Parts: sequence; C-alpha cells; structure tokens
Amino acid sequence: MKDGPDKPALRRILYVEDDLDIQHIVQLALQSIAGYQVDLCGSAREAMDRAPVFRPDLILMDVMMPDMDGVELLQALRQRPETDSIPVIFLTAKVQGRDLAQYRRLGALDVIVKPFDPMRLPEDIARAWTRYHEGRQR
Amino acid sequence: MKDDSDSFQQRFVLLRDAYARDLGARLTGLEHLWARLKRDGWQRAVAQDLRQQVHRLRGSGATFGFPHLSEAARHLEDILREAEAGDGGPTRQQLADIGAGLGVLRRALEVSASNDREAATGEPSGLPADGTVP
Repeated sequence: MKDGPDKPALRRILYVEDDLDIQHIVQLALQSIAGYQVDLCGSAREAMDRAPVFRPDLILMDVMMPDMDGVELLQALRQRPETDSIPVIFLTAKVQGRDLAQYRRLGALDVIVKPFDPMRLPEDIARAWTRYHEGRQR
Repeated sequence: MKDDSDSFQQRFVLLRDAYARDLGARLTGLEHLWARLKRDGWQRAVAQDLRQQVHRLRGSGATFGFPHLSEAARHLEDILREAEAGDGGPTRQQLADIGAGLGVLRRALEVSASNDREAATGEPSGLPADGTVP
C-alpha cells in the first residue's frame, strides 16, 4: 500500500468523536470525497479497544469528550506497542495557545480547527499525511 | 482522490437539514440548564454540562453552514469558562453575561432558521443573510 516511492497510502482512518452530528459529516466527507475507509468510535475508551483491531493508518480525534479526553487518549495509545506509532490528528475547537502547545508536545501530527469546511477536510488530512512522511524521510 | 462531490453535496444537505431541525431542541436544553443554575444556585457539574453543550454548538454550527451560531456559541463558551474559573462562583456580572449570551445564541438560531427558510422558499426573511446577529 504505497502512494509514492516511500510514502505509504492513507486508507484507513479511525475517527473518535462523541458528537454524532460531527461524526456523520466527517464520515461522509472522508468516505465520499476521498474514499477513505472510516471506522467511528463515540468515546476514547471505545477507541482504545477498537484501534488494535481496526489497525488504522491514522487516528483523527476530538479533544473534549466525556470520561477520557483526546489528550488522555493519545497518551494511552502511546503506552501500547500496537498503537504507539499511529499518527494522530486532533479535530477540535479547543485551540487556545496552551492547548496547541500541549498537542504539539505530545506529538500530534496536526490540529484541524472546528468549525471546519467538510469539503476541505480530506485535503487537509492528506496534506498532513504527506508532510508527516516527508519529515520521516529526512 | 475520488471526486464524488455531487454525492457529497446531496448527502450533506440532508445532514444539514436534520441538524437545523434539531437546533431548537438543543437551545431549549441549554436554557433548561441555565434555568437550573438560576433556580438552584451555581453547581459546577451543571455549569460544565452547559459549557460542553455550548462548545459542541461552536464546533458544529459553522461546519453545517451556520457561522453566526458558532460565533455566538464561542462568545458564550468564553463567558462560561471564565465563570467556572472563579473560586467563589460567578460574579453577578458574569451571570448577567451568561443570560445575555444565551439570548444572542437564541437570536443566532432564529437568524439561521430564517435564512434557511429564505433559501428554501426564495422569500426574503428581513434578517441579515451575512451571518451577523442583530
């Protein structure tokens, strides 16, 4: 599954979001515009169970979720060998300066700000994916 | 990338319509939480619930094509966060600001509904279509 000489193709995305409206619109955009295979999780705990099974190329996640937030989820994923290297993008409205610094410090690949343009979402993700692999090749 | 934007647009309109239909109930839910805070006194869990629901509207409003809704929600979320941060509970001014913020949010929703009707029927609503809240 290669996109270019050294860049794996992005095919499978796990999306973690507790807001059903946003879940639906993101799934629609990623599947119908970009043709990605998308698996949905309504909570961070569900994502912890689902990620090792679905084996996504990338995880897209909200930050503000009940019980366990996106930051805690990212930290928990990094503790498990089967999920520790999966790139993560945050899709969130929680984007104050200190939040963004924390996401970067934790190794998030990118942050996409809510509200967002659903038509552009696949393009934004693809760009982050390319940047990630270009960075790894250097 | 697969170019299937026509299909996307058709399905997006359906999702957007469903979202718009549900907005009134959501705002009523917010107003109930606010009524509880006024009636029973400031409770952190209720205030947090209110802020989280407003936060969702902030993230989803403009995503579904209602930018004024996101803007009004952003403003109210900021007020709620400040009110939650105070050690002794919110000040009288902050409580007044929350009530006013909910009023702005209600007005933004009415503008959204009105602009939607105008788009559907071609009849001018008399409300601004640029997303500004009078």
